[in-house]
Amino acid sequence: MSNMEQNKDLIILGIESSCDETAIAITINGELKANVISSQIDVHQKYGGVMPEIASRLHLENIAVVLDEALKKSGVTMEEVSAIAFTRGPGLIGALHVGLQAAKTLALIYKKPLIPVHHLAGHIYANEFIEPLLFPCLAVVVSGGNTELVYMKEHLSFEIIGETIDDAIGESYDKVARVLGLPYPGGVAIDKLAKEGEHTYKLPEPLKDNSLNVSYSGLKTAVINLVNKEKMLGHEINVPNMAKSFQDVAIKEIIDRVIRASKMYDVKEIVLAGGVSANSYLRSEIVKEFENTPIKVVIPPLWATTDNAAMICKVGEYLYKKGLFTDLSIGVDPSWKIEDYDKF
Amino acid sequence: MITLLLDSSNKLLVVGLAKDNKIIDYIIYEAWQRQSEYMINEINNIFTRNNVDPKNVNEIIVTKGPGSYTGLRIALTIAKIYGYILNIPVYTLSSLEILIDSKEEDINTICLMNARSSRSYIGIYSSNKVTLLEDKVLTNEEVIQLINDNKIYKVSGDISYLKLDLDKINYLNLSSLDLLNNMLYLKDEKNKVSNILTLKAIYLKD
Repeated sequence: MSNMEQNKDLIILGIESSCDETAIAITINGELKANVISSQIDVHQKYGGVMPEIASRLHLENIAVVLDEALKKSGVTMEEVSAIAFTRGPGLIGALHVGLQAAKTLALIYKKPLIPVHHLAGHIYANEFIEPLLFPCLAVVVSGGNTELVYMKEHLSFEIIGETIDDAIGESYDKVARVLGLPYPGGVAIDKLAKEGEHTYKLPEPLKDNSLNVSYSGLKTAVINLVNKEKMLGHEINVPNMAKSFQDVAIKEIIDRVIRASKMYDVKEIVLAGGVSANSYLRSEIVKEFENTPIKVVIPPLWATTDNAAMICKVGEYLYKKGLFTDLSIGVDPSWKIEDYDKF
Repeated sequence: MITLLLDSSNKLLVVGLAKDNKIIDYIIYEAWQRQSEYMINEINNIFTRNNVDPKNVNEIIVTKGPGSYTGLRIALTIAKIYGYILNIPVYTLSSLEILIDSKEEDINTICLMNARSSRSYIGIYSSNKVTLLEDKVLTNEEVIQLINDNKIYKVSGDISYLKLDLDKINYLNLSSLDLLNNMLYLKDEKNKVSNILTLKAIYLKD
């Protein structure tokens, strides 16, 4: 292969450090060549949740190890890389800083374009590792930090048409899990136990309006109050039943809005995105709801439901083609809105 | 021989450039909590105006702590990635020791930094590279006592938070150039990072 031909390859190095995974991936023309993730989950499990300062410390400790492995696995050299994409937000500020410095340092040394990527756009585009997105598309973004319905008319067009008015769905799972004495991350534990339980506890339906918004704070509080009341009365909590009762209401809350949105908007496809999209009940319910309809449902691969840098590369490719680069004075934005993905 | 010097452990953003062990240029200003945005940009600026290709840096000297947690991680992440990818030596120094008076022999300096919550980061060092007190956290009361008990020692650092009368203590007014010269002076084999992949900050607090 001549040098000319080699230069035509689009090679993206992606860096993700928004929460508790330090991740670097490399794609060549969209094909994943390395996808390295150093997870901190064991460390945070001890605290029952992500400790921001500890997360930041571990990012600094792990970042070069992850880069080393990604370069070795892919066989790509820094000179060959076309651009460096990194998560600019949303996320934990101290954690984002580490990935940003790594990205900027590499961009400086090798004089490469720098591409700021929105973390949730990453989760949505992770579905492209299964198949190309089909537009107009409704992305159901459900994670520990976010719960939003994003309408996409075409590539890189994001409109938030509904969102949580208080807690994120994953946050409520984690808090309910903690009060039930289940390990972090709570979503996995509740999902597993709910399969053994029955819906016996009466919990309030969170938000009764006609909007596309959801609410999880009241549901979480209702579970906590119920658990405390039962304890005071000396009753033992049936944990699988409580898990099932909570999960039914929590998932119904989001499914109802997805159904409503699919009627209000012209949608050819629904994609799930984010950590809570690993939830087996959400997956089966959404598939069930839209089978025998013209709307196609795409479920991300399990590996893409947790944070990774492959998804950052994927968005990076589209942004590269759009020429959306930034300079070395870029900072992070812990509360960056997906609609502003091109403003930095 | 090109040396890049970095410190973002406290309020200052410090970027220095040395050629053959002599400081040739620097950019130093107060950038509290903005180092993340500015530091790489300033490194780029200093390279550009001195015609240095970023790939031609031969070694890096960086502070490893104690100090602002986020600040420490800015310069250390840069040094770590830089050192790893170009496979060049990285030297890590105490962010307190670089505050010493190194101009004369046998001078002892109490080096201080605000650790918040009425506490200080403190280390005492001699100009002969001897550590008299390892970096640690003390209450501001203990620090003031220590200063009063050792009036002969110099006192260095941004100590406005201690509200001391600087005329009544042996305060060291360290210039930007002094600071960078200290970093060059303190660079030696024992401060060389043996495995860049495992480089960490020294926080002193959990």
